[in-house]
Amino acid sequence: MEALWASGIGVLVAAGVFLILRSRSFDVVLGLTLLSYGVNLFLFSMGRLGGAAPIVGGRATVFTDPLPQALVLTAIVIGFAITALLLAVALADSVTEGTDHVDGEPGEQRLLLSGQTPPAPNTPEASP
Amino acid sequence: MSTLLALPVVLPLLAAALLVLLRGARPGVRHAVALLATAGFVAIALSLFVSAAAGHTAVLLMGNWRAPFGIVLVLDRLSAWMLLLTAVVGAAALVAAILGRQARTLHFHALFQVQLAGIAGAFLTGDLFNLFVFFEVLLAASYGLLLYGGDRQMRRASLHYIVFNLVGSMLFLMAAGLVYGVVGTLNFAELGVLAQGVADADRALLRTALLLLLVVFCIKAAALPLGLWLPATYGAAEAPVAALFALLTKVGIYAVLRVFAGALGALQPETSLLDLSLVLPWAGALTLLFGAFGALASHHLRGVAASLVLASAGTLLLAAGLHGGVATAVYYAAHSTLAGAALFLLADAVRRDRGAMVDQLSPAPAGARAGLLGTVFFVLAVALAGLPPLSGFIGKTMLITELIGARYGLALVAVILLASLSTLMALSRAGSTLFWHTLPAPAAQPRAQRHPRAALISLGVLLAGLLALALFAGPAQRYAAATAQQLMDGSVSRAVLAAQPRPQPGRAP
Repeated sequence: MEALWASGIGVLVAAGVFLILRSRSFDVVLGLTLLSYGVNLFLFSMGRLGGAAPIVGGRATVFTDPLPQALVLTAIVIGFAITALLLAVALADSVTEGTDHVDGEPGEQRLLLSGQTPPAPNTPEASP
Repeated sequence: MSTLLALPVVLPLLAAALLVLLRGARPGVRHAVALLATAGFVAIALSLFVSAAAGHTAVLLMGNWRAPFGIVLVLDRLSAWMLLLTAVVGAAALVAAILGRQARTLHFHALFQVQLAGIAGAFLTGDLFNLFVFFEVLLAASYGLLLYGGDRQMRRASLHYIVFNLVGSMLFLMAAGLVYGVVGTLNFAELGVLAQGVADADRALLRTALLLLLVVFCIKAAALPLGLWLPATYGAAEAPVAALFALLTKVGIYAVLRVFAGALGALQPETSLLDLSLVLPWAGALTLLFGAFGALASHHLRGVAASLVLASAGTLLLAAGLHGGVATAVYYAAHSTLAGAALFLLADAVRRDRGAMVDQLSPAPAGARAGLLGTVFFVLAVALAGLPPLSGFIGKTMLITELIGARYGLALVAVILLASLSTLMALSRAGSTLFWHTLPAPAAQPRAQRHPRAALISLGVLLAGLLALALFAGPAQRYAAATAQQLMDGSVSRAVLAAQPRPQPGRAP
């Protein structure tokens, strides 16, 4: 159980870090999502693995620690909201720039929405 | 008294909700609501400051649970000081945004209030997880505020900023989870007690968690390898927003002080779980040098301001890592926040005054208010470079006095003096280019934007704060020393753990 759990977290975090280091904002968002799954599992396991009863009901004598579960819920909600915001920013950015490279460089892949003319290649911004 | 403690968080949040509902109303109505809420925030911060200055530690048990189990808000001298600073800078930034017409965009006011609530909550919370929550609240608002203005440079900067801070939040969660897993509590007060008794087998794990936590706080405080996002982000933000952001790095410094110097006693090497007396000062020193050289390399006054915010964060980290340096950090935090915020506002005024040349550091015809702005700039430069007689000098003197005799003290003093020289050169270059080395005005002078004279009010408020810090340096220093004493002697923790829930009529305890 522990080995499975730990390696699950490890794989999620490794994949997340790999994706975050890539240069397209879509990959980065995916990587952040995977990373947050890994972190949530990790947080959850801080209440110890082992399958005692939940604290509701009051009939069991041994309970699992409810605090990590509360923490995970909060973390999920916050992570979800911020990721949604990040997606909106990334989407606005890639639509107006025509590329979803994180540094705005005209990469290999150009994002073309239907009915959109190919954007002009990026010229370095003249300093105002 | 202690119920008042929830207001710095609740009042801005209620105001933000109201402002969202008022989105169809005229801008004047929204301005009025935001101003009223912020005035209330200032009043509450002031009254909390007065009560904390008398030495009271106020504890509010949210939900009426005893301290280590429920959510707790704590007000001691450090929180009250930072809260007052937040109120002053927040009010000045809001007035600047309204008079400078940056506050007309939809939801600016709502986001601004949420930002205030997040900062206030981070300063008041008594446990690690709520520190995370309030960090997220203030970050979420700062993402929104940053996006106003909306040119592509800013969107790019915000994308990097959001991704970077989101990764930081994941690290924070991991660290908080590990701390809970090892020690069994997230409450600062209980953490300080229990962390000393952790079994030897678990100490390495706890140290890992605490170092992770330090990395997270250094991301917020923009310490060197983790602070490279700051100049681009702050340089791209609208001036009032950037002025408010000058506070955000101080939240990171506050967290370092609260958790490491306060709860864990990490600055007393003999009893400590984790000795930070080498890491923090040098991380701070390198950040300071980077910021000071960055100011020298900037082409815009805004860039200079952003680099100097970075340098001040470095100075603060340096002070926070010294055993006797907490008082210095407290005093210098106020000075550097006020001065940094004022420089951002001044850069905006200069930008509008010089028309097409904006705040670029190259000669141009003098603007209409070059004389007034130049005078303000001169005062600010004296404060920022640490020259007598203003507060920067007092702060630096306190720091250098503290460093003599410390480990690697002389090397750190050399770094500080070198950085001061670099700051002074950057500011003299900026000042002489912007205000002295002017070209003759062309016959028909195009005025790009008239900057309302009233917008200089908030600059005046910040300058008055700086002058007050210099004039009343004695009382401020005594307050800072008492703050350090209170933070490190564990009296706050005892007060938190001793706080009793109120008896509730009609319910068995």
